[in-house]
Order: sequence, then structure tokens, then C-alpha cells
Amino acid sequence: MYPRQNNMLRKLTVALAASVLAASAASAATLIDTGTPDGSQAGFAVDVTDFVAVQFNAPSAWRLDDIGAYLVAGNPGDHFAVSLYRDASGLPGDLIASAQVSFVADGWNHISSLAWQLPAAGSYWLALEGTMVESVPGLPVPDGSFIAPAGGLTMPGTTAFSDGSYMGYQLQAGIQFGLEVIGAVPEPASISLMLLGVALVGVVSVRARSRRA
Amino acid sequence: MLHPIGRNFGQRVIAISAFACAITMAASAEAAEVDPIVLTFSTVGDSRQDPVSPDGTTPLATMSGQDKTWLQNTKAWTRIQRTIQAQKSSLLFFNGDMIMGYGLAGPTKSTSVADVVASDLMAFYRQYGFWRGMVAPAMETGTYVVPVPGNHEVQSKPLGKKAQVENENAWRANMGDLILDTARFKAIVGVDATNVNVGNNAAFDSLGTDQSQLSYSFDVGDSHFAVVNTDPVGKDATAPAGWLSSDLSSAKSRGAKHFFVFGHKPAYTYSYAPAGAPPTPAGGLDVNPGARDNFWNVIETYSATYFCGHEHIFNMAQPKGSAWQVLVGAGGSPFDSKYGDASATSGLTPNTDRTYSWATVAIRKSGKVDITAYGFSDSFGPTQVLKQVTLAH
Repeated sequence: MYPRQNNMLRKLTVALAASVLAASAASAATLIDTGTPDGSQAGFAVDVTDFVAVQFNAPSAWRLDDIGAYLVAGNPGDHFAVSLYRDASGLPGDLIASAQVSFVADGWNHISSLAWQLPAAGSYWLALEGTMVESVPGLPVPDGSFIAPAGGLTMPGTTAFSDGSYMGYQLQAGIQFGLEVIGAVPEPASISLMLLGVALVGVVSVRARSRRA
Repeated sequence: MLHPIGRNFGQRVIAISAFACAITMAASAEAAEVDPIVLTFSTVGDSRQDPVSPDGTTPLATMSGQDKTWLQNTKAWTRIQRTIQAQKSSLLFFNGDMIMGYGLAGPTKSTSVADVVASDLMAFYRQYGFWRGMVAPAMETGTYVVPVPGNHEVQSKPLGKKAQVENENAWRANMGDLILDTARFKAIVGVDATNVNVGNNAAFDSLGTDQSQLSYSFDVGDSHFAVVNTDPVGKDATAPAGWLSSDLSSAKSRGAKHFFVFGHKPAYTYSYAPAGAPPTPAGGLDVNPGARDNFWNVIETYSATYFCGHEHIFNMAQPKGSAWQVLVGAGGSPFDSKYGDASATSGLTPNTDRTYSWATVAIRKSGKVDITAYGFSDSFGPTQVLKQVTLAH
């Protein structure tokens, strides 16, 4: 290979990598970031009886990739659930998706690679819920209990809780819990830039091959 | 040829990935060092309802027929149990006043059906039966219930709020199987209750009636649990400090590291009076200050923690600056702090004076003990943390 061609290919590859990074950086975004609790307000119980939920608005169709919850007082290896609901008259309605998260340590506990789709702009709910585990088949038992510390948080919307009774979720203003949600929204400009870079690399590669021939 | 660039790029990717993995592994290793919990127990008291003066937010008009008949705050007590079980507590110490009782569980006026049905004896047994039914599921799903006698179980109000031997007998008849079924304990908790002392220890404190299964103790691992009857016949509002001192001494000599004592009446009455009003009058063991001091000296000597009820309210305090008194007497009974009192704050900030509350205690492998008090408001809001302390041993 001629040095000049090598240089050209290097530049194009770097440009391609940059365009890919630009595309991904532009589309990955934070949908919810409450901040980290400062403990100035009493925390809330999260277990198979006690759920907490917050409403949020999606400005367009979104994909939720990573959800983090700030929880303490659990045992490593225990689980909690993050659940995504449609809004139904101002309360969590139909379940869209739910995933178990393994509690690692006090603080932020994340789950990634969710790829949950919010089908359209609108109001949704995210909840922290307890989970059950069947160590003995047919005998589900609680799989951990946690505390969601509060104080100094900015919640994205109104809040609700469930106490495990027939009443389901009930509105309760003022509930706080640490929540981070990272996702992606399709951005045509970024995708076009990436495709253009791929096309350029292809053209240069074909021309180089034809010159060698 | 793209190989040179591709190889370099690949090497960088591998290097970055290896770095990321190293960080992840370091984080995992750090998480594995978390101090594991070796035993969790919960404690609460006072779930009985009041037929005459139920809480202002739950007036008789809204009490269910069930609660009017069996005199329990079913809604609050059931919810407390739900969360205690969700917290995977192996033991539930119930600090007395599980029934309204407060009469004389003695002979009926006659043997007619009407007199038997209307008798205090029948009322005691009916109320005990309902409460036992409420806690039966806990016993079947991993939580052993340990009962503590309260004044409503052992005293008679018409007889001057004095403990009665008939009521002590009714206690044993209705609770005795729990105190202590070691085989069932092992099956439920997964470990043995050892050094079980449920016999009659009345002589230590010159008590005149059989105190077996009223004041008793046992060990679980290196934790010692002692239950005291705070209203023995002839010495109402007095804890058996003589027996307790001997009991804790024996436990310490065999290696116990944690001492937990459960009684109904507080050693130090918590004053919940609104600002500017006279303080709440003494209603616990402090009506007999000398005897109370003897009892509390034992608690302090062994760095024990005292869990109690009687006052239908939540409070945690260190009366003498060291040992904790954990008052968790709001298990469903009408709150002592009345609706609208200035002492009862409003909003979501825990309104601890009018909060159904309990404590869950986690004993960790390192020896640290976490006491976390939980509760929910009189309007049945979300479950919140009321207070957390860690005892280092």
C-alpha cells in the first residue's frame, strides 16, 4: 500500500469513529436524574409490600437503556424491581416492562441494556418494587428489603405508593427516591452523519482496490 | 490494507475493555465486603382496639364489625405484619396489649350460656383467639412470634388496675405454647433457641404468683433475649430487676454479646404533650422511681436495649445517655397523641406522635446492631424510616 493511501484511510477511519461516537453521544441522554439523596428527609421502605413510583413525561418516543436506583440497607445479591407503567388517570396503569435488579451495595444500583420502548410521547410511571424468589419451588419468599433515602431530590413528577393492600397504587405527594434513567431517542441528523461516513470509507476503499488492480 | 490500523485500534479497545473490567471487578470485590446480617427481628406492641374511645381518625362509625367485636385494629396491625415479613424478620416480639382484656378472666356469674358469653373470661379467650389467628400466618412463613405480657392482659381495670392471678393463668393458657416451642422455633428460625429459661423465677423479686412464661429468656447465637412482665401480681408497674440481673449475668458469663430486653411499660414515660402544656404524667415503670432505677441500672450495666410499648406512640431515647429505650407502642391502638395536637406534625415528614410504628433490628456478623424504626401515618401513607441507630459492640 502507498503511504498516501494509508494516510487517507487513517483519516477516514478516524472520521468514521468520530461520527459513530458523535451519533451515539448525541442520542444517549438522561431522561430522569433526581440527584443523589442527602438524607435530610426520612427515607422510604421498598420491599414486596412497599412500592414507590414517580410519574414522568417523555417528550417523544424513547428507548430506556439504563435505570439506576439509590437504595441502602439491602443484602448483596438480593433483588428489587424497576417497573415501567403507562399512566392511567394519574396513577400507574398497565405494565409496559419490569426487570429485576441485583442489589450490589448501598448507593446507586443500576441495570443496563434494557431497551425498553416508550411508544410515544406522554406520561409514564417508573416504580421501585420488591421481588419474590422461589428457593423452594412453589414457596416464594421476599427477596430483599431496602430503604430509599430521601432529601434534596428533584422528582420528575407526582408520586405514589403501594402498601401491598387491595388499594394498589395511591397518590402521595412528597415521596422522594433517587432515580437515574438513561435512554436514547432517534436523531435523524446523527444517523445521516454516520451513514455518510460509512459511505465515504466504502468509496475510498473501492477506489484504492481499483488503482491496485 | 487496513490491518495495521485495525490491529492498533483493536489493541486499544482491548486495553480499554480490560481497564473497565478491572474497575468492575474492583467494585464487585468491594461489594462482597458488606457486613452480612446474621439475625433480623422486629418488635411492636399494642394492637388492641378500644370499644369506648377509638382513635379520632378511626371513629367507631368507621370501624368494621369485625374490629368492634374482636377489638383489634386489623388494618394497621395486618399492614405492620406484612412489612415485617417483607423485611424477613425471623422473630417478632410483641410487647403486650394484644387484647383489650382488662377484666377478670375468672369464674363466670353462672353457667348459663348468656353469662358465659358475656363474661370477661370469654372476652379474654375470644380476643386472644383472634389475635393468635392474626399472627398464625407469620408463624407459617418464617417469623416466630414471641409474646410479652401487657397490662391489658394481666390487670383488671374494675379491680383497680391491678394484676390478677386469673389473668396470669389466662396468659399462659393462650400464649404458653409459644413460650417456647423449641422444635417449632428451630423449624421457623432455622437456628436453635438455647438456654431457654421459662420457669418460675418469682423468688428473685419476692413475687407472690407463678411467673413462669411471663418473664423468661433465651439465647439465639450470641444474642440474649429477655422478656419481663412489668405488671406482676402484687407489684404492678415493676419489672423483675432481681431476676433480670441474674439472667443477664448468666448470659454474659456464657458469652452473650448482645442483650435485648422486652417489656410492656416504658421505664421512662415519653412526654408527647403539646408545647406549653404540662408534661405527660408518668405512666410506666417510673411510677415507682426506685424500682425503675434498679431496673434501668441492669439495662445500663449490660448495655442492653429495652423495647417497650404501653404508650401508643413512637419514641427512641437514651434516658441516661447510653442504653436505648425503644418505645414502639403504636401497633394499632388509639394514638395517645390526639388528632390535631400541636405535638403531632403534619405532612409527609414522619409524624412520629401519630404514626403506626415498629422497629426492625439487624444483627450483623461484625457485631454491629442496626435498629431501624419504621412507620406509616394515621392516614395510612407510605412506610417511612422514623429513626436509625447503629450499636457498635
